[in-house]
Amino acid sequence: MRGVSVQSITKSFGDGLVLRDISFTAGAGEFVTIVGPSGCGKTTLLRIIDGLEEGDSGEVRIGDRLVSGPARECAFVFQADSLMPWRTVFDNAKLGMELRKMDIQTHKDRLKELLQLVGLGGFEKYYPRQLSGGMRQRVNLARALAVDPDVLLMDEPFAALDAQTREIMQTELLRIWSDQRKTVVFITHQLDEAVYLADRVLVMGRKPGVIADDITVPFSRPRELSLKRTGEFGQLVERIWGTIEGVIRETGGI
Amino acid sequence: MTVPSQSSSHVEPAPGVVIGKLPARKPSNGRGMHRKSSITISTLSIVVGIALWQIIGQFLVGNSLFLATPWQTLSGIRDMWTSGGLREDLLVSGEEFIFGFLIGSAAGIAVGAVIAKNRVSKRILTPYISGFYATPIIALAPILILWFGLGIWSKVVVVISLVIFPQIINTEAGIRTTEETLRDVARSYGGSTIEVFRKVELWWSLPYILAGLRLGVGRALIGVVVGELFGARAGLGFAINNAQSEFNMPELFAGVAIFAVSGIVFTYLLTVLERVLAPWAANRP
Repeated sequence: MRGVSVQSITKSFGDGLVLRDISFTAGAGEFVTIVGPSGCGKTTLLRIIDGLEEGDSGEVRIGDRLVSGPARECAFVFQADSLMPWRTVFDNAKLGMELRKMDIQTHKDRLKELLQLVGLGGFEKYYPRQLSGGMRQRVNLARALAVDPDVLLMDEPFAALDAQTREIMQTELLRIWSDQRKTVVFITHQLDEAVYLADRVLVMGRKPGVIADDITVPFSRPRELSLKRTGEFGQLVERIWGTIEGVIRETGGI
Repeated sequence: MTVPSQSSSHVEPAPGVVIGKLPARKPSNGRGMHRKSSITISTLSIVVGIALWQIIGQFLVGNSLFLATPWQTLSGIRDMWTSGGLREDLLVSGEEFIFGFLIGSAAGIAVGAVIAKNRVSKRILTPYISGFYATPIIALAPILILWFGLGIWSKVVVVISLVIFPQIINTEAGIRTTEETLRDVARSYGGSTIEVFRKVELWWSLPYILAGLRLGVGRALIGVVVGELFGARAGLGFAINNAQSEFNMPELFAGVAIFAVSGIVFTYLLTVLERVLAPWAANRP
């Protein structure tokens, strides 16, 4: 398994500077979440790590390899509804394997186990429109895990889900992650989600996006959902909220 | 920005438990339940329509020179069959329809894909496509007959010219409206431009292409008749023209009825094709 190292990434669209001199690392097997106000360039940063977009300057390395073009070591979990409506659950989950020219036959059993692991056993033949939002995101996750990546890049994967399903998916993600240990870079705008999931939380400022804070989460694993209701948890969330509030004030409101 | 809500509910499910709405439907196409009754209604509608036609023709008009009844139309078909002309006419018109429809549709899909993927070709071709789509190409049929002769190929060209433009427009729209995220998914897994086209855009466009085929069926049938009216040696349109000049209303109606039935049959076959190829696209165009 390999970690991610982001070095001085800068990116602008037109004359708007989106990311300025972003640097951070995620160690091998580490779970890093990135939070920040909307419009701070979180998604752009993630797309640059995946090689879907290029930074104007700076570099991204996965392990020792310099990323240029879609990175084989990464798998991207998109926001809701990134499933192919014409493919069944099983066929959606194997799309990444197909495109990366992995032999489906030799990996078929593993793919079935993966679907079982993400809680989709028995749903292989369903089409996405027959699934709930939470289940679709499970397929998304299975599709990403199927290519056995070193790094999982997750772009607000639970943002479109209702509060209850989101909490369930958070515990599910931790359960799956403890089984399939990956380096994870997870973007969210939900502070409690960020703290609950992560080893480290990066707080981004905006206009342009910079790393405003880097917080190590002290809670041991496995974590119960009840952790969210403890005082320490609340204090940590409060501290991050303070940083973000400052950022928003400085850059002129929501 | 949201602050974690203190009142969020406390759910702690067992690992692996699937919560959330369970699919309301079985993994079939979900239409089976209503198919039976909708077929019954359609059949009933046809029966009532034919009955009305018979009543109006027999009692209200009462003159087969103005309106042939269904019964007279049927005997018209029988006469055409026994005289041996109908078989030949069906074959000729059928060939014109099939060749024109297939070539026109295939070319329409190909051109639509090219202009969707290549901006320059789109700029070059768009004025012609919108122009020809809007002009009654039928008006050009006499010239096409002049150029391509009285055989089937002049009619095939007429049919192609009618079928191709809606299919170009539909295919292009399908590929153009492909959801960007889905392209990104394929790209992020290393999909090449061709793979993005084959595995994402083409599938996304399938319901549009099928809708284009359905439009094409009607236009192709019109092309066959009108093409033959302007000049042919055989065919159903040719037969209709003859019947008209002899004031043989039953045979004229017979010809028209055969076209109508073909329209119903081909459109139905396409819905079957849709169900087989795109069962996932229940609510798409």
